[in-house]
Amino acid sequence: MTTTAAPNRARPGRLVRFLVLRLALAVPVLLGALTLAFAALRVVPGDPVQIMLNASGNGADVGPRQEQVLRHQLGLDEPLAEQYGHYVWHAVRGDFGTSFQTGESVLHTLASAAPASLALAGAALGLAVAVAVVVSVADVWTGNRALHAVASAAGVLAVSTPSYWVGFLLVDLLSFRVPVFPAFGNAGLASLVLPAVTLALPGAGILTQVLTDSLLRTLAEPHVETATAKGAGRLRVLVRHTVRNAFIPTLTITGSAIGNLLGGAVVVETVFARQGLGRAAVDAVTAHDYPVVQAFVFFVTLVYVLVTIVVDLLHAVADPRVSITST
Amino acid sequence: MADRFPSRRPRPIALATVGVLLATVACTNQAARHASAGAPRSGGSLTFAVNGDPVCIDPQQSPSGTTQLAVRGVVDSLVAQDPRTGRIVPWLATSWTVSPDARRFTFVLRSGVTFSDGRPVDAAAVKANFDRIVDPGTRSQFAVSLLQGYAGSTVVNPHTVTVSFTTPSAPFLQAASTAFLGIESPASFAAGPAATCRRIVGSGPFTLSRYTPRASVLLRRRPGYAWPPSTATHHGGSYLDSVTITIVPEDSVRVGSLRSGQVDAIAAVPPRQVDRLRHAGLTVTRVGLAGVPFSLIFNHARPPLDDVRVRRAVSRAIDADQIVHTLYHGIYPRARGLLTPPTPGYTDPTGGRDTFDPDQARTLLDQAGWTGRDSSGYRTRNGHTLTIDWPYNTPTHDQSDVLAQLVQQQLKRVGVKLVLRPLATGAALSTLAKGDYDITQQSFGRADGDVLRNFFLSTSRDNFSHVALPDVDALLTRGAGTTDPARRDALYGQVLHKLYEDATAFPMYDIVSLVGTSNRIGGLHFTDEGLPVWHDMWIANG
Repeated sequence: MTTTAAPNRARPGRLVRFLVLRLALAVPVLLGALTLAFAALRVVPGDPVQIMLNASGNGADVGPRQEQVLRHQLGLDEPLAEQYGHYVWHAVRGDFGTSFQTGESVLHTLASAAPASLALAGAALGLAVAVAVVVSVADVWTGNRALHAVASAAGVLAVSTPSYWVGFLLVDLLSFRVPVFPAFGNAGLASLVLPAVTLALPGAGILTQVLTDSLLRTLAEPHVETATAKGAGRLRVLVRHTVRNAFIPTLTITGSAIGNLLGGAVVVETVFARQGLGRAAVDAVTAHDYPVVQAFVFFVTLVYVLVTIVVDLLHAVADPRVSITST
Repeated sequence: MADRFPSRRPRPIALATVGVLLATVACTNQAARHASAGAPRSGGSLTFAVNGDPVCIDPQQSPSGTTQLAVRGVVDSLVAQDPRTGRIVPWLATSWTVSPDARRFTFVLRSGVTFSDGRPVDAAAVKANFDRIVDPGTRSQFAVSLLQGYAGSTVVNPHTVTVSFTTPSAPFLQAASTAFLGIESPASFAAGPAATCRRIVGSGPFTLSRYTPRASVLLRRRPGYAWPPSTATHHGGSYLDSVTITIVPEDSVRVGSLRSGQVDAIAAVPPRQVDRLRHAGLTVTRVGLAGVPFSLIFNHARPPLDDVRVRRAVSRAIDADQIVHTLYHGIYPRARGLLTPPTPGYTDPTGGRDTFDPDQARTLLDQAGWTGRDSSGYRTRNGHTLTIDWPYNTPTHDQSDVLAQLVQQQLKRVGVKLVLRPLATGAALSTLAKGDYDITQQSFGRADGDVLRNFFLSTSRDNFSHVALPDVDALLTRGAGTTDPARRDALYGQVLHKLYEDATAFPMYDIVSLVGTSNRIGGLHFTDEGLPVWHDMWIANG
């Protein structure tokens, strides 16, 4: 970290250079992700055509010609290098091909599943952050040891409880026994509540622990003592002097929490029978629907890359000691 | 650590409870619904939860059973099959004739039938449908297998069409009753297979209003429908205004949704939930499905199961009754013979006898030379342990992994080592294709004895047992060559006896469909394939 006299955010030139550099670095990352996905799918045993034709259970003979034609239509009879070349060539133009299973454009498949996932992930993230802030601030504000112990234990419990169990529990209690929320589907805000709570729980646990820890650390620093000695009230100390500093490590964790949300969404989407990217991806993996899986890996990588860039930028905004040119 | 906010008086804080308080309100208010369905009434919408996604809603392309369930009310077929007798009855075709060699089928179509887009259901439309199914560009993953040997269709006149095959194809009549060969409007074909995967147009009592992948299928009543088959329980259009088929993959969520009234009916009730649902006042209907039961197929192409004595021994060593009762509580019936009872051609080759006889199993294995013992107690011969390899696909359905473990225990008692290999889908299919297994599990739904040909004709691509019995081949070929039902039944009965003597495969349990319904639903009945007939169902007012 370099120490500069003036805050870096006042220099747009550096910002632009930073962004250009990071986006340029993203390109080999994305290409690497594409290549790995391509390779992994072809190394794993299982032939997509066989899987498609056996979806009804074995016992249906569509004939070798049909199978051959199918294989040709999906481009699976070409040599691997050619398949890879075609794939990358089209991908950089935004054409991720058509799904093996439905023949539909892959982008269309993912785009139709994305809004539901975004809504769920957004709600879960918002909930996790809100819970983390409330619980950790309450813990720190009151200084009550018993509350601290309970909050810590709850945080650990939240992280370690499997989300499908939480999901089933919530569905049973708040949908079947006491009909408050719907048990499945994408319709309306009510159907978002239980899945969002289930998905938010592990994230809330982690964020609470990290935020509490960094709040406590910051409060122990000399500048807080100075502020208090100068007569600042508890609230002012907390808001003006503590939170911004304490939020920095939390920011990093939030970035990876977003990635975890994408992963945890699969379980939640299946339990609550919601449409979404997670289920679409799992179905595609099981069916060896190469184009869909490859596109999914690409977009998840893209999300990670963008989130990392944003987190780094926010770091620079929050902490004047951090220079955005430092990597 | 020093107090963080110095000079504050200590304030006791009530502990926030982290857990959720439930208890008192949690008494279930699902009082048993004794409201009956009453008389048929027009109107209302039905919500039906299933456990699988159609993926593609076009029955000409999709192999999925959920597609069938959804579109059986959207497309009509040339003929229908009476589930009680297995006989073929008129539907879109009022009559038909079959050439003596069962290669040409001439259908006379009912007049005045239209698709929901207004176009007529005529001979040209039928021809366009069958031509499309066999066209590789359509990417049919199942329907084309029902038209093996298809040589083309001829439009004799607007109401008469002749379908021709290169080989005798008596089973085509039954295949023509399925939704796989349902008649869609040819005008919808122009948009291409990807488009028909999203929307199809038929002549049925419902139209496909919207298919949202992985979420739901919405059917709406088609006004003016007047041509149900004689298997329907009422004439005219459907009672229901709409049917929503929702996809809920998790068993417990689906069952809970029925119990809490969030859906009106569900498919695939897990066997262990049947009693609970019935006690809660709901109805669970068990429908036996026709076809080949869930069976263990023995691989005759390699040792040790190339020896008929070993196959018979293994068949005697398995206590299927115990397995079926332990896992399925008697809900799935024990299978006898390699067809299920509702299948035309079914007979019980065991003669009702109990096949479980471990002593005879041991005798047979001794006769086959497996007289040695290794340190674990498994039989050996010439230094080799008697090992049977069973790779299977995970995730499993209907607890077939637990079933495999029970079989493993039972075989151990007679000294046979059963090795279980759970594999992901892709790897499991590769193993199957390479023949790298001793046992594989199979079942297949089809309401025709010809289904035996898929698995047990020596030249069939899906002959996973690699059985090659010329007698059986001859019987199966003759069965496909005659449309006389009595004759076919006799032929397939003989096939079942021969397969039983050969211990080709071990039938474990009959496939049944378990449908749970609220008591507001009336008129529930099923096609020969176990699909609910939406057309005849009604729903009482809440």
